[in-house]
Amino acid sequence: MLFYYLDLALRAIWRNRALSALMVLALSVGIGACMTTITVYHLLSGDPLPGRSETIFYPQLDGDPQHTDAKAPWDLLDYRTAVDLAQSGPASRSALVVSNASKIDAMTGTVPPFVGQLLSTNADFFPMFDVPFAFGGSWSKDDEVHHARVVVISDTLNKRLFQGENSVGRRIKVKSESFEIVGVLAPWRPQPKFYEVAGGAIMRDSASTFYGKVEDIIMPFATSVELNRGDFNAWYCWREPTAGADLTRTSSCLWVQLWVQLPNPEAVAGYQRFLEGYAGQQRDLGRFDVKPKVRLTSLAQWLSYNGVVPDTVKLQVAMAFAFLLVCLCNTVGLLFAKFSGRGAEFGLRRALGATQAGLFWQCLVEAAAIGLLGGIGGLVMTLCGLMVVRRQPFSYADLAYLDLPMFISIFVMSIVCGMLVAVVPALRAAKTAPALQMRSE
Amino acid sequence: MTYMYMSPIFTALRRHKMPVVLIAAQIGLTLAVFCNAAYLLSDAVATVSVQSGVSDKELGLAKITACDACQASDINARALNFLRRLDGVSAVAVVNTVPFSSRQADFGIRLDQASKRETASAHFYAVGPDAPKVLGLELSAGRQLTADDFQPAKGALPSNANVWVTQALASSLWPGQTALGKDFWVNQWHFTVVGTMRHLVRPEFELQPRFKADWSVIVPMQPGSGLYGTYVFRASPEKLAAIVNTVRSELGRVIPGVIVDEDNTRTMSILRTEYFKGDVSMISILATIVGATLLTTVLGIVGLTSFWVSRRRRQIGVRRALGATRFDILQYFLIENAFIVSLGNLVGLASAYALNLGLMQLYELPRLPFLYLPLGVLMMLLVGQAAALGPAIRASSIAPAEAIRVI
Repeated sequence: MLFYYLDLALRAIWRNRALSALMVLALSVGIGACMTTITVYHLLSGDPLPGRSETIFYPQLDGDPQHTDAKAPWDLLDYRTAVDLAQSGPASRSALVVSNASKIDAMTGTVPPFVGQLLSTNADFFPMFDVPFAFGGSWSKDDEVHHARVVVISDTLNKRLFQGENSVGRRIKVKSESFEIVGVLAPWRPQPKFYEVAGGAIMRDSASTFYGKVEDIIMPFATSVELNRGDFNAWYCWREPTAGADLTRTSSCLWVQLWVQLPNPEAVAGYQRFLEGYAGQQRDLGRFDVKPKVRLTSLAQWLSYNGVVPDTVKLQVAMAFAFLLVCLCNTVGLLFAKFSGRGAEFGLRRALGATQAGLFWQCLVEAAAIGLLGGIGGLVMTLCGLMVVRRQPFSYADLAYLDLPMFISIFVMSIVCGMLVAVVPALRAAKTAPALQMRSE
Repeated sequence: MTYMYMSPIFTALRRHKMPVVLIAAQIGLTLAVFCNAAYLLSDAVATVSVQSGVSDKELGLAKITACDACQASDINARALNFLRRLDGVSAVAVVNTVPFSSRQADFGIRLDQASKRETASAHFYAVGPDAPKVLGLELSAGRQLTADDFQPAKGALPSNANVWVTQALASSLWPGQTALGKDFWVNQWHFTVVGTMRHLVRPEFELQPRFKADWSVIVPMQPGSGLYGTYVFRASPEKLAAIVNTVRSELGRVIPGVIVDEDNTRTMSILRTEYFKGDVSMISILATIVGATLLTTVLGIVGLTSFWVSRRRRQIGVRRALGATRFDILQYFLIENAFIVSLGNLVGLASAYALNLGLMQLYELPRLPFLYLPLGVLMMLLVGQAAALGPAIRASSIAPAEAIRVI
């Protein structure tokens, strides 16, 4: 029976070639536009650390007496606070994070010195964020204590300077000093670059800056502070620093981020208590005039607080959804018109003994065929759409690829759209009363 | 007379309720998308066509970084000397940054030395001698800067500077008053306004609300350890590209130990283009969505009208045989279309408003200006008539003999 309906459907589609093509085209373009934007949204709002992000937390402590919003302490920490929390906080792992530009010289003679990005952090950074290594590994805790001149370099830099060979043990000049390479990262592109996300709640539209690439060079925090003599870029100073350029000697300049790993709710509560205690103690010691505001947010909360999905991406999703609706209305409207114009044919079939159910299935098969063709077209359109997105000058453009869950959802979405388009007109057409239809023409 | 046309239309439409409702809904949604997208588009276009306040087309920027044991004055002397001697360069100055390059000094302004309240936050361009002329800044009131105005820095800025502010900043700090001679403070620094500029956009102005884009201050400053490494030069537009290439390849050799910052050693036009890359692609995406939505709707109307025309060949033939002119038939389909589109527009006005409310939350966009709605309605009517015209003309050419043809 199905084959008979399929045969009828194909005949009907062929009879109104232009109209059918129009319906399929509208459906594919609508699904394509919608799924392209949703794919981008999905990629940007995904969990950067699946499986472990619930254990990663971001402590904040804000001693600015003029900043009274208790719900939103300043995003970054001052040096003293950051180092104290990292050293004595009850976390299973903790990593300070600060990034700045630095002169890099490979001393190979082939690549001239250039200005690259330097990430200063702790050894815990690598296991806590599950950072993949191609060669070598992290530096040791001992290296941190002795301010050892060691670095880990990114996959990109290793390809640029050493053609992707195992460069562990080679030396590289950062600023004016020579460092030993102890590790080379495998390709790593967290989406977003979550460990540096900050300021998104204060400055709208900054979200596109959260999708940059990982720094070229990663070195122990203490070593970096010594190397840069405390000369970093302050994120914000709530009081004019008195100690000159050395940011390690002022409590009013905020420039360090801290990430901690807390394996269970008890540890989280414990850390919260520790933060409160530390804040009170620092006020009593006179480092702050007021008791600093504290906050402990999970990675996911921190990302959503900062609005890591750019507004423009949400806007595109909204627009594309409206467009898909237009396309669906278009297709359903045309299908309705098409079925309602076939009263004579349906009436004849009913008169010859076809049941309502039979007519319904015939129409459904015909409409579903159009829906399916539109769905397949939509899939192709999505792939084209993503290709277009990759050529746009957005910082996240190179991430725009279809992953398996998205591929499956596009397929499901296409079928659902196709069915949705099919059912209502088919139901309507099936209601045809035999005698009435015979008479009307 | 009109009623005579309307009556059969209503009868026909009532018989095809669903397609009519759906096409009307489609038209409504299209109107909603169109109004909002057109508004966003005009906003984005206003952003990319901002007046920078400097002579974009005749300027080039050179920036050097990373020199550990260098003397600022030595770098300045060598760089200025090198740039001045380049063929085609007419003037050179030291600056901390320029529009479309990186933000250097955003500070909160206090109008009262004692108070802690910051009235506004502006970008402070610290500039060396000749910079106002090189940049091509236009003064709307006040005086030119003299050699005495360029003082050494105390920290990031001089402790008592005579400065220029933009008109936009002046009117927000001292509404209704002249800014000339007024004082303001930032941290420990004190400033006196001696001139107001027509325009000078702040770097990375898009991160600010639109009305704050032009809040900038020009602080004359003696080049030295607080002001070195970034140079702006003026040259004729046709020679600029070649000059920038020379600077990129040779400036590093002229001053040993430094690295030329290639991202910021560019012509001002390229800096500007690069800065707006994202907005331009946003514009093209929006325009594509608007275009695709309109096209789909037009094709939908064409499809539906053609279909109806083909279904009603017999009725049309009968009407023609009974004396209806070709024009009557044409008019019939156009009126029918206008009726459906108007129905859709009613839905559309409501959904345009709803979509705008949603976008306002999502995108911090001001309310859709009222003008967009009547314009959108009018456009949908015209588009609908244009789309229906083809099938309607075909309908009008149906011969009366069709009435007696058996399908």
